[in-house]
Amino acid sequence: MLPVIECRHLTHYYGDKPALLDVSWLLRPGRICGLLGRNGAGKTTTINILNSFLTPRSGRCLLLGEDSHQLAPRTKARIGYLIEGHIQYGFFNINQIEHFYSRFYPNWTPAIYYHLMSKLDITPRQRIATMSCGQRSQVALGLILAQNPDLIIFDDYSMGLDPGYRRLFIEVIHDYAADGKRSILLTSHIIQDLENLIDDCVIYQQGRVLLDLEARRLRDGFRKYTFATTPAVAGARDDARHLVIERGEKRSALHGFLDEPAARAELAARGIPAPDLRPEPATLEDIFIALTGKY
Amino acid sequence: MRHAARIFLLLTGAALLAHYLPLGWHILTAGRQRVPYVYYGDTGAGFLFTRVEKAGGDTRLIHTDAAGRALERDTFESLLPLTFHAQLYKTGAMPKEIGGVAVTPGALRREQFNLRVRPDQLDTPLVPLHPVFETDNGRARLEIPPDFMRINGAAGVADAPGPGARRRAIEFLDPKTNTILPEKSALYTDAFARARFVFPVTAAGSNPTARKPYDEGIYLADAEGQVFLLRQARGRPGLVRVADHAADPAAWRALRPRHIIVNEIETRELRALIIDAGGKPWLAVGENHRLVPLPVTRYNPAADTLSLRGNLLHRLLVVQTAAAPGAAPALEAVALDRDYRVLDRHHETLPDPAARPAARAGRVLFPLAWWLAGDTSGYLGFHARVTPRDLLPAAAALNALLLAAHLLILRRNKTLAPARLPDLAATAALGLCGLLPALLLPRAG
Amino acid sequence: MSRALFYKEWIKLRLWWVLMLAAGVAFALVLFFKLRYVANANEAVTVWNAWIFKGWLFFRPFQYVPLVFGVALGLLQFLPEVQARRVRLVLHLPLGETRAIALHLAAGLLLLALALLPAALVFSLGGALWFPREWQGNLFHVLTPWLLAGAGAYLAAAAVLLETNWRHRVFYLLLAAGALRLFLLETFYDTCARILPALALWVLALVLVPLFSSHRFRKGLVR
Repeated sequence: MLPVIECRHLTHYYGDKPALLDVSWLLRPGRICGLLGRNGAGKTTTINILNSFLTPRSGRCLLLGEDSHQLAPRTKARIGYLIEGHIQYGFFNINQIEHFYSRFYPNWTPAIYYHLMSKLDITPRQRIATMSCGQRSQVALGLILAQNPDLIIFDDYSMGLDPGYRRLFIEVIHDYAADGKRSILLTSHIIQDLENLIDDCVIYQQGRVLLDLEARRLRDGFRKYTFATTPAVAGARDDARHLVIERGEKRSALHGFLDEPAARAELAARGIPAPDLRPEPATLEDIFIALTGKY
Repeated sequence: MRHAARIFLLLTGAALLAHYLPLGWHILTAGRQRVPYVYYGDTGAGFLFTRVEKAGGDTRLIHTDAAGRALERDTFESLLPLTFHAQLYKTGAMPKEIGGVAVTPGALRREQFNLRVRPDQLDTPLVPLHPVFETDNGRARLEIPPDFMRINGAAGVADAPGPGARRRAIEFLDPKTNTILPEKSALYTDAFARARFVFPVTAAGSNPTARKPYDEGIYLADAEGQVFLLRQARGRPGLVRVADHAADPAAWRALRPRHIIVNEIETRELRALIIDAGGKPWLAVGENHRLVPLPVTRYNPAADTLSLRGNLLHRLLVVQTAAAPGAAPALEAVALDRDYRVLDRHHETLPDPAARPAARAGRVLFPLAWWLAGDTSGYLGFHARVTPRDLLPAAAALNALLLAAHLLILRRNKTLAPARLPDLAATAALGLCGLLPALLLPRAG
Repeated sequence: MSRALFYKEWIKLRLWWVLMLAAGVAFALVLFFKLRYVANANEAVTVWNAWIFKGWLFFRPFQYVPLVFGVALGLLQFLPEVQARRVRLVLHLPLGETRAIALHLAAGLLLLALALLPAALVFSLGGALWFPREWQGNLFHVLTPWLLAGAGAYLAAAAVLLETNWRHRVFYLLLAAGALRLFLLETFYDTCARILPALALWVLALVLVPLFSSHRFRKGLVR
């Protein structure tokens, strides 16, 4: 099946500074993909290229099979886009903005939008500019869902939202994508929210794809083991094997796609004694931090 | 779209620079135009001049005769009593008669006139409504007419005489009510029809001010080039074909007037100054409209200034010709007696402002310069000049240098590409005016 | 879809547009009443003489109003669009990007024309009360360059705001100032008659520049 998003060998520089280096990944239909990475890893650059606000130095980006820089209007109608910060037209009220957007999308379903709006504590004539950050995010979300797009790109949906609105956002997306017909790309810094939401995970590190894996396999396969810190413990990182050794004050940790025997063998090979080695549960956030580092 | 936008920006930027940079250059480097003022001696001294001379950073007036000898101011003024009579009366040096003609203050004043025709007077926006003065109002002074005449007549429109509701060839408008005066309009339309005036009007001339000694009337040239004189006496129109009453009807019939200028003087000698279709100036003089061809050798009404000054004894015709390709600006003066016979001629070339080093440098720096407002017309229009032929090699060399610099800059910025061809063409053709916008423009991508 | 975009611009600008319309008409009426005063306080023939021979036109103080309105409308329309790069919303809509921005410009020019036309009508009708049809020709030739300057100022403001690079913004501002100055030279009624077609054509072609700016924004051409 044709991937809904396909990035092929994207490379881009800002002046002489590399932003993306030969980035390739794809999003298959009906999947929710989380695009993760530290600040400056290249996520925003990728999103801008996806939305054709940036022309990469080399490489191509295909959305629904078409080059992202030459999307036909028909294809654009099938793509929803949430701008970072939930940017929308502040001078509209919720009715006016629905009236405006409904003219552009053939599959527009106002019920979805107004259902979300009914949950907000706002007056119908209240202008969007006077709403709180969380209320604005719901308006932006409602407009995208009412569009009934085949692909939605959420650029940092969580920016400025309190936990309540974040949770609401996640639940709405989850319900929306439940029929398996929608493809969604998300970026966010609040990794714990994405724990049970995303199907696929693409992790960026310094402009390159560090990891591109199904979320389930990542959660199940990537383990964390802790052991007492001894003088022999030295921090180590092997990006190719996704292996990380962190030296802590009292206890150190080993992260990687290893079962327990393999973990012991790895430490033994490095001359690190770990008689008290024990596995510890790792959230998606723990895995992310382990892979990308704390600093 | 983006290439069209970029070319539009390039052309606009180049055009604006080709307008403002030469203007700025001119303001910074322009010197004072020193055109001498010409007189003709009343007591037989010939042509006399007041010139502006630069002497060590300062400018001063010097008075010379035709041979170039400098004269003291008092001597100079004593040779021109009819001009400097105020000073001479004050010092008591004013003669009582000159050349057998008695000189009195009243006669001096009456005979003095100064008529000037500039190119922008001849081509200037006008409202085509004419006040028709009442020549016989029984009062000492003229009064401003209470209405205005509008000439509607066009070719092929045969207006039947008599009052009616249709548009008349001649209409009179009443400012008080902003309406047409039907009777007066009909009256005048009839008069024009009876005089066999063939519409449309090809030239018109009058002096629409009440501050004049008398009203000459309005001269109108019809479609066949025949000149008519319209006057109003006791509310009734008087339209006559000038050729029918002139001393030389053949000359009038052959005349093809283009501009008619009327400037009434107390002696009623000057009837009208007429410039024909060929640019030749004529003066209609005296009671029977004697047509005098003004004896200038070179006069282009669209570019040159003509002045006719008169006093008790002489007439002085001065034409200042503008610079033209192959001819420097010049001053021509013709002294005439009261019967317009030529007494003396003077011709001198004036310093060409375009020949000054700074001006020539400007022509090299800015191969194309254009402007909207000039002194040759009251209308705004597009006037341009390009580098003259003798400076073309220098301009081409400079442009080549700028082109090389442009190429180097593009190479250094790694933006040299076929898409840059319009930019390079702009630099090659316009030099600095092309290079600057080309460098400042955004890329098309 | 065009109607939807016009609707958006209308909702965004309607309050400001009403203020502009009111201000323009109020100013025009003030000038009209001044004319009425002058016409009543003086002999009618004196007023006509001042018009015909001195070029006195009662609406001359209106000269810079279209320019100011054009700049204001451009700012009010496009400042919200470029803040937080909100123009991405428009560029993401399912229609051609050039068409989307062109529709915004059409909406702005239409609103500008509608804000200024009533004032022009006041001048025309007011002038017709005291002056003959020749005066209407003068009104047209004197007012049109000012209106074109207003349209030009609007398009220049849009281009400056949509452009992302500061150096190019300054370049556009200088170009606009240099060009629009030529639209506002002192005129003696029909002085501009011969250059009016060229002025109109230039303003028409100026539409390309804000489209160009938005195109560059889309391509991420910041340099």
